[in-house]
Amino acid sequence: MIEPLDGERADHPTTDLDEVVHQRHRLGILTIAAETRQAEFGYLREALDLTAGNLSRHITVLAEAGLLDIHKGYQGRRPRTWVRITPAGQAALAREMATLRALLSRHDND
Amino acid sequence: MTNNLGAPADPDGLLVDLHALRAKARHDRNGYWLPLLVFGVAILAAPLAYRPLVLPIGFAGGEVPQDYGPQLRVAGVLWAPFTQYSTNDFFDFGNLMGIAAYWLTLVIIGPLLTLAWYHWRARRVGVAGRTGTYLVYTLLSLIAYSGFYPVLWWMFAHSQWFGGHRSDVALLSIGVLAIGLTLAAVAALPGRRGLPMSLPRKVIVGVGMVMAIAGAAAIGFCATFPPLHTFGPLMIISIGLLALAWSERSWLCTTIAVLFTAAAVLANLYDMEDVFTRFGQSIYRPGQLVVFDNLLLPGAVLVLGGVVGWLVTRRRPA
Repeated sequence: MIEPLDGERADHPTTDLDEVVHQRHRLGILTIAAETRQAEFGYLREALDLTAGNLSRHITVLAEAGLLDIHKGYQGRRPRTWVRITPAGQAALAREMATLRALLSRHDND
Repeated sequence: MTNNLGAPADPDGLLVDLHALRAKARHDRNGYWLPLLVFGVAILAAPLAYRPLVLPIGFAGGEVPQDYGPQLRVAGVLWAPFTQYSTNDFFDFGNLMGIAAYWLTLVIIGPLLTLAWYHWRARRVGVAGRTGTYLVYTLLSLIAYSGFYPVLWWMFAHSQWFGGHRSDVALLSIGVLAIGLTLAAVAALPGRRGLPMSLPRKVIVGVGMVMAIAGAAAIGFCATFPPLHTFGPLMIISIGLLALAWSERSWLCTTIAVLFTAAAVLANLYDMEDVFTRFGQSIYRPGQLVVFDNLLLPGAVLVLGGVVGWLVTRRRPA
């Protein structure tokens, strides 16, 4: 969790932001994975416009946090990596989206 | 795909970008158009499997020689399990087991081909949809239609009310189907905004779908009595397509599946050839043409739906 700054109210929506998830590309990976049974590495790289190294780092962080499962296999002779969102990943994504909406609503009301 | 995920933005911009990503993944994952097209063409081609009855030379009346397939005695009632996949027009058609083989192949091989198509597509595109739901509900529907039949037959043979009120049973079946589908839809819809569905909602969806499957199987059963025509396999296909529409999260696929379900109910519980005779067609129509009259609407809904679905999936999401 992001620590609130001095004077910031503890109930401010930003206190609910998850450091692991609250990164644009990681949110993108989780969003695509949540919409599918599994998504392939190459598809994610193209959809998110990332280099293979960057995408690999983001996926590793999410997998280490238990938010994604990684499956490696072959299509013919070509190695393929598939990612699958876990229930914890779905819950984390849902929380993050709710927080973003709350932030937006608060921003609109200020 | 071009996206703005690399650039700093406000929550509004981020939510818009994520919404676009979700739409793209959903669009790339959708592959329902081919199963719709295949099932539609197979349904329209089904009349070709119905061969006219040719009586043997010297037939002097009495029982028409027919092959009803294996017959079982269940609780004192004689039951020919394959005839529910065939036809009750014993005087028009002479290949009952051939007709049963056609429909059984369609309701067994069709779903397997659908799964193979989604598997192939996932490897090609890079995103895989959730086809497990489709498989489970199609299988349950197949089991229900096959398994309910002797139970309903037994009730029909032993209950005076059940036997004497066939139209009431048909109306009850439609009611159970409609209530089940409504229950499942109402429980499933709020879970569509990316939130995982809660257990109570999953239970309600499951109960609704079981009701729908029971209603569909009972509609198929009612249709095995003349003057109606036996098109129970259409109900199995309709339950599978409704489950597929839910997995696909596609309004177009859902609309087509609902329209097909309505057309399948009509084909089972209404003599669609009456519509054609009202428009001036001869009442003395060959049996194969009567079958076509009844299958035209459900088949056409799927073929048109498949073509529209193909056109929509070719377009890139906005």
